[in-house]
Amino acid sequence: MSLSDYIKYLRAVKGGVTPWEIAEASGVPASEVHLIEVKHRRVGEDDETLSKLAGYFGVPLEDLTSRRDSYRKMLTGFLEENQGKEIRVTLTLESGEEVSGQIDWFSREAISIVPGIGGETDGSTSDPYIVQRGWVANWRGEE
Amino acid sequence: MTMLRSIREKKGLTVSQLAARASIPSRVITDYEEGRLAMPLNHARLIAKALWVPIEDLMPPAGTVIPPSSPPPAAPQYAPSQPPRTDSAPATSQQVAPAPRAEAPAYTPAQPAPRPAEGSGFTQAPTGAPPREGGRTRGVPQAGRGGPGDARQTRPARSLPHPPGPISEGQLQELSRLAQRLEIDQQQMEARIGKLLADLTRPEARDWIKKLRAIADEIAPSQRVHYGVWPEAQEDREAAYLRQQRDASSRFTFKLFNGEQFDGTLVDFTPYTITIRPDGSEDEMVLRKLAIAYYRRTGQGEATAATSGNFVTTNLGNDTLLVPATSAVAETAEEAATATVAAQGHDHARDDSHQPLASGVASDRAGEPAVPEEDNMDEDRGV
Repeated sequence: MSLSDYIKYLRAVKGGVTPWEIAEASGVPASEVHLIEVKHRRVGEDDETLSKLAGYFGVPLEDLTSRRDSYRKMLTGFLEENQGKEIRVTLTLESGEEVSGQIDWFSREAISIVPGIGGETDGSTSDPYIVQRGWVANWRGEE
Repeated sequence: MTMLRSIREKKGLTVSQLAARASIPSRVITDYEEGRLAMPLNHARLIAKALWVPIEDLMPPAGTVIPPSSPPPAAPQYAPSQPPRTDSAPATSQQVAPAPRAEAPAYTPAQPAPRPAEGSGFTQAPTGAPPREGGRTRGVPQAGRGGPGDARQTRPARSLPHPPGPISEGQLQELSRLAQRLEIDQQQMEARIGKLLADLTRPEARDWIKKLRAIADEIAPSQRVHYGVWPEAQEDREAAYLRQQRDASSRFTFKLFNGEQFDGTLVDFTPYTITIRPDGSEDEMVLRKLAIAYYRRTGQGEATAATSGNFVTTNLGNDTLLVPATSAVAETAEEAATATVAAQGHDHARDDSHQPLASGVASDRAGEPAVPEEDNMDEDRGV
């Protein structure tokens, strides 16, 4: 999950607090919270800001800083590169589960992974996993 | 001290205040006070008005001499204090240097400029009035207007426009990219352009990029994502998949981010929610997509099973369509086609049935119908 998605998720978990409420409680300007959420590029370079946000949401700072490199455009680039190729990719979800297979298609919100290539052999290999992009924590490709 | 400064100080005004009142820059007023500039009539009027004094009061007393400490005056902006040169020798910087300040009386009227009012002591600022007889003529160099006697720097003649620069690195890259997109190599592109890419000028390259982009777009529409718009091919992949599975009443397993799992038949979906009918239940359940980690089809539903493999061929004009039969007995091909269209159309009754508020919640507002109006907030009522 990208830092942007994670902030959104944390806001939702905290009962849907608004950026203004976060600003009031943490001292991070609402505009900055908003910018972090909407950017698809790498964001969150300022450790001090992230530290304040981590304190506010009650999560370790590492939880935020480790997501800097998992930004959405990075995932999009990986998906574009491997879509339609005979390459098995593995998506690690936030829960720790892994979904492996070939990228069939992807959209703004979801990725279709067909677990046919070296994946599961449960008799329904043609049925793809539709993974919500927001829950992809990490990814890798294998030849 | 000049009359202007004397009056100003008597009135208790600073230079800036006077400047603000008269709408004249402070620096200019200081120049008038110091005698570095001859005050034109229009400024004299403004200053007199700002000071609430008659314009004549601004005249210097007879015999006033500017203190020698004052810097030598610059050539007046509109009226030179020196008579125009009469010799035909070319002017040099030394020749046009103004006379020493001590020789120039304060508020020196322009010579030979006419006095606007006899004895007023002010220079006449240029106005839109027609030139006097024998006066300035458009295009003829005049003293104070860039003529030989003008102390100001003459504006250098405008240089010729620079020749266009060579093609930039970015333009070269873009042309190469366009060549790839058009599936031609560089030589073919250069043949089409009529010269080597490296020989193109920047404007030429810009024009060719524009032309080639138009050609490429015509051949294969660009996949560029414009702000706020997502290409349909990307955007609708999940929706297309869900639509297909919904029509087939497929069964799915949904795994939520909190580990919960739900199995059921896909009933409907929106951009934010997926509605399922859990196995063994008649009720429907709305899952928020945000809560879903992933989902996967686990089988086909009853509707699909009933119609699976039961296709009817029908002819509509010259087109042959393969349509699924929606009833066990389709008397004619036309009936089957009609039934299919009806099945594919939007089923409002079904939609209403899984609107949580459609089950008869009375409105608390007087005069409102018992059944509330439809809204699009069902995604906020999900799991």
